[in-house]
Amino acid sequence: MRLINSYIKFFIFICMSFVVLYAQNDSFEISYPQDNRLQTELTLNVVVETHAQNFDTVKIITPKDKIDIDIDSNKSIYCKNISLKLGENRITVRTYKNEKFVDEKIRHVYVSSQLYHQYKYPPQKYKNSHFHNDKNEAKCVKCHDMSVNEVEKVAFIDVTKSNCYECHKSITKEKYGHAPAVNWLCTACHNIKSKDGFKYGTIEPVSKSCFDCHKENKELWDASRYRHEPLDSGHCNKCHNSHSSPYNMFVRKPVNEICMGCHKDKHIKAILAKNTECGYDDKKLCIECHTPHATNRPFFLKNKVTK
Amino acid sequence: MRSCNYLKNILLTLLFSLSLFAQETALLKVVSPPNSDISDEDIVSFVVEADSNFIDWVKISGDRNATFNIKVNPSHNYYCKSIHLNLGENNITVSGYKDDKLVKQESRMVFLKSTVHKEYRYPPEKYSRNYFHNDSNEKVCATCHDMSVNEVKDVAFVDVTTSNCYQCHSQVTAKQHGHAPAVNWLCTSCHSGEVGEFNKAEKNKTKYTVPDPIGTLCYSCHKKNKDKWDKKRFKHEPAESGRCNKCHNSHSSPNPFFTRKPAWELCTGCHKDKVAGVHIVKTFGRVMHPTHNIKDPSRPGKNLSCISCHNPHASTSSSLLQSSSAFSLCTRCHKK
Repeated sequence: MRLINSYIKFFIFICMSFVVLYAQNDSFEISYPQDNRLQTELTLNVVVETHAQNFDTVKIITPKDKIDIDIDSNKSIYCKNISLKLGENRITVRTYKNEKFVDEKIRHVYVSSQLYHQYKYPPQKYKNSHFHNDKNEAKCVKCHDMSVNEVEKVAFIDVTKSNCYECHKSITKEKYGHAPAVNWLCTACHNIKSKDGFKYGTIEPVSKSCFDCHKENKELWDASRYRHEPLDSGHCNKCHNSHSSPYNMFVRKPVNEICMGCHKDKHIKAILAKNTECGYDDKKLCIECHTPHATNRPFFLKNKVTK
Repeated sequence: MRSCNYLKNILLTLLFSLSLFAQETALLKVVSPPNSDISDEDIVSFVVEADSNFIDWVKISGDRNATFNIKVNPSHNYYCKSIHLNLGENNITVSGYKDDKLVKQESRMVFLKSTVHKEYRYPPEKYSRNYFHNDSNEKVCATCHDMSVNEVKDVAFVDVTTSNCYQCHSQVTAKQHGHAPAVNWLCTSCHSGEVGEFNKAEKNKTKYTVPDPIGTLCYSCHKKNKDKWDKKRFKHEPAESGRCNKCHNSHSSPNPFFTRKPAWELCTGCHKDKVAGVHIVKTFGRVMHPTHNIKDPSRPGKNLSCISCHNPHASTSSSLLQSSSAFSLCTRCHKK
């Protein structure tokens, strides 16, 4: 009898703690991203939805930043654009009442990159996910116009008028911007609707979109004898970031680092001997002698080499 | 007046020499391949036109071949021979003899290209790719060969030698490991004449082009592989871009799975930083793990190579490992 009693007490305790936990968890939620998100861009929008008013401040803590959001009693959804680093990112959203900690929730986001061996293989738990489906967008419409307001091939006079701009502006903040991106003609490339309801996918391989504009490049390269693997398989975006980048031609890393990320033997030689068989040294760029796209000359050399 | 005579003489001599030249070309002519041709297969079919009035026999000699002597007989004018090629440049000489005296000689340079050998990846600029199977070339063949396609879709020949393709191309399946559609001479199941996203320029150049990337064709049979690999998280570049033929020779090869080179040589052809033969992973005692030249305990009877630890197509674990974790990878061989 005593045993049963203690069992009942224990059961009630468990139930109560669940109720408390649930009630507390319910005070706010991170509607986006879901946990263990996998992405390739270095920025992310965090959407926090508040349910109860048992806090007055929300703090978003990222590996790079701490962001405070003041709670406004008229609003229940708050968006914030954050910067991420390559690899694993832990994003903590904390609530405070009168500067006293109330609750926290955590999201893990992985930024992968094909150009870094260490970030090429995200752990199993991370999954690709897409925001723009009808269900997610239903929450945004309270504050944002979620329609596409661009006219095909017509640049905005004021890009801030683009409906995409407000949430995604940080992807074009780097020095070198790709014309369709900095003019916010997003759907020029993001024009594929996928079965799961995602509205703004891109075609695979992406070169089909790239060559819509870069026709002359395609003709020139098609007529060439040799084509570099990423070009030949249509993966322009392997080396180029089609939005913006700190590097000329919006390549994803400084040129030599991009080349030697795959051509590792050249990297090792460069480290060991400070030069390679083709005379590479720290001051020279691979692309001074080699063309990264297509050529008629062996070894992708730019000019005829006479021995 | 005198100069006019001179001119006449010159013109006459020119015409005469031209007529001689015209006659000579008809004596012996290499119809195919054209000079400075690029080949992907290590054999090339030589088609020689010879006139029995002026030539008794034709000698074809290349760098790699025992010399072929072909007797010219009055009943036909065209003679074919499969010639083996070395990687890189091949100089093949065709000589016509009459009464054991050399009458005419022609030579052909053919470059055997290989994308898995860096030194043979870039043929010199004078070489170009040519396509044989067009109507004008086939007209020449039709005097002896039935140039129609006589295969029934998805039905293997009882006797492959009855395939119309066999007679000229029999050498492509001569290697130890043969790919089923090739050794059954169901050529057009792949050589459909279709072009893919990346070889649109080849459209209509030959009747039997294969699309690039070729993956969709391969997966029409290897469906289960596609399903399996699609589910994996990470894919190896050639598998992902559908370029199965980068590593595999879809006809035949001396290597298992008709890879173009033995596995280790194939992998290190691109992953050159691994050529040293020891791996980046330091094992206990700071000794680098070998990557070849020893037995592979996880695959009895086989030697260790890159594919002992890495999956060349797709994998759910990082670095395309064959196992789900680094530890379970070690225990595949190091049992205790």
